[in-house]
Amino acid sequence: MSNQASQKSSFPRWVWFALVFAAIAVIPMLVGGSAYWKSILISIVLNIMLAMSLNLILGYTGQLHLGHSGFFGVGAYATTLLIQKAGFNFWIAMVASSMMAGVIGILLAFFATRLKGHYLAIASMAFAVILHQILLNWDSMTSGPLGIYGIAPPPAMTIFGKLIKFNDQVNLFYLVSIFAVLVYIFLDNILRSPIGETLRAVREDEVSAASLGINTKLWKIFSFGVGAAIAGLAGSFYPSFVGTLVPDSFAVVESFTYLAMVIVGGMGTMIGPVIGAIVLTLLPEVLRDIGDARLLVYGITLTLVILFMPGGIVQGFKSLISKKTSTTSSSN
Amino acid sequence: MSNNILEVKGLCKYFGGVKAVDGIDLQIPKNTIQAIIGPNGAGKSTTLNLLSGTYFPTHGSIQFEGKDVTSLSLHQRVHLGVARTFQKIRLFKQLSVLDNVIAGFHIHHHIPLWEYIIPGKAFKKDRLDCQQEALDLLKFVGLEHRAYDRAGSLAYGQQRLLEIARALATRPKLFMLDEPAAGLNDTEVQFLMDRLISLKNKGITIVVVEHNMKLVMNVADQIFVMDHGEYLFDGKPSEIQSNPKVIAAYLGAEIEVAHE
Repeated sequence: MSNQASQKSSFPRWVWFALVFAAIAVIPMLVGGSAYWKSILISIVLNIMLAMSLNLILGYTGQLHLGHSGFFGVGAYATTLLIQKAGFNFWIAMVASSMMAGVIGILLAFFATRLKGHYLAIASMAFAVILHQILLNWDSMTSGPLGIYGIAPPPAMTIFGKLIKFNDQVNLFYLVSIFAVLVYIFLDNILRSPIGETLRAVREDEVSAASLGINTKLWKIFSFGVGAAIAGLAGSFYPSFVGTLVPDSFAVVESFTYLAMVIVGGMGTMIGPVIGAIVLTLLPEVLRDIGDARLLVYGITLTLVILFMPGGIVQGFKSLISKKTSTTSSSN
Repeated sequence: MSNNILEVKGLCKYFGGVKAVDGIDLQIPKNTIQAIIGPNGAGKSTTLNLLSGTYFPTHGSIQFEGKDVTSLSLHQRVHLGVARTFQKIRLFKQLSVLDNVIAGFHIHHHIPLWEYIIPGKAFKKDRLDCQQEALDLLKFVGLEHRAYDRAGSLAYGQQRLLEIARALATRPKLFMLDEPAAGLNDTEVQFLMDRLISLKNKGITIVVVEHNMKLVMNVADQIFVMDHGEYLFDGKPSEIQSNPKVIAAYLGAEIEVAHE
């Protein structure tokens, strides 16, 4: 699953990144002028960030965390409120609200990681429910269920003498994509480092990990803190592209969508959550034409993936490829 | 400072009303192999769990190299140079054999913080060193040919050896093994004995809880016998074999079975 030999094979990393940047540049042109599809592209990228950060906690550290929507909500509301009520610049608000989400993640982990498995799942879900209730009921701050309207996109920037405005959704897509790529590189690097080994050890067996000198509680808190901060970062872009902010966007149900993305794509792999987020964001949109039957197709697809590819799409493809190569080369 | 790496005084562990370990005093001299034996339920594994910090004692004190470590937990004692293996094998089964050992270097990385985000020279050197040292450890336990296999796919005896290699990656001064020979065949026990003596020659002090008398009698410098959570007797292998108390409590039955 994670042995070093398999990581060294295939293309060098820079080739992959060149391909990814080319894809990011080209994709908005494919959807043409449709504002609707452009907004879907942005939500795909935000979902990729959310799935990747959840995967750090769930797939690499093995903590059954079901409250990720809460961190996303903290990022979204904190950014908007810091701009509107405290007059912060967008970029400072973005950094501050990611850090705030990170701190809340650390606090949640400090208490919740005493629990394991189902109990941790319930505690983390309770966190998301409480946060949703706070957003609904703290009228003076969040306007409650009415929501906040008319949120401005990030301020325009001048790059190479060109003014780039983010009310153009294509520019906003490029902006969030850059952050998503940075997050991917950051996570990929720390997971290739000894930190990755440490987190996987905690996931596999906590007592064993402790017998190697690993402070398991500390590393679980680390994982929650980093994961929450990334979810908060994704959250800070959310209001600027939707323009409105209502508490129901951060209901606990959303956590299960992110969970499905991680599981369908492939838990504990870097590329899995990316694929999961793309597939599960696109699927309901592609199926929109068939009306309510889309929920049925969505459900069946999820069931089939979990039945036939229990390790997610990535693992499914890997075993398919290894089957093919082993039948052709017949060695080993 | 005395010549003892570990000094234990009045060690007790009660689980509710059950006195699993009750008033053990134990001195382990540096660079020796100490065996702890006794019938099932004598409190041997509990003693090892207390010495390693997996459990905390109800009463008593533990000094490691003259420092009181009674209140330090398992992961904290590893930093001082204490390592252990488990009676029930606890490998990272989904990871490769090599990655299991590499995880053992947790406390020995020297990478500046920023290189975790932007890898540089120190990062690459660390990765190569870890890989090489892990392969050396695998060679030491005879598993280098399985380095890239999944740990869960190893045979039982190989899993025991891998657990030893992984614990050695922490570079211990005091290495405690909980029934390392359980489930091993004769050849594997022979190999294990050879490895334990080789570790002792490298300057590592070894504590081994074991039922296999062949291993205990051949490698141990000193044997500590427990019964019902209490001290029964201690001495050299030859003294143990001829002690009537030990024979009555434990060895008698065992020798008859192993007679052949």
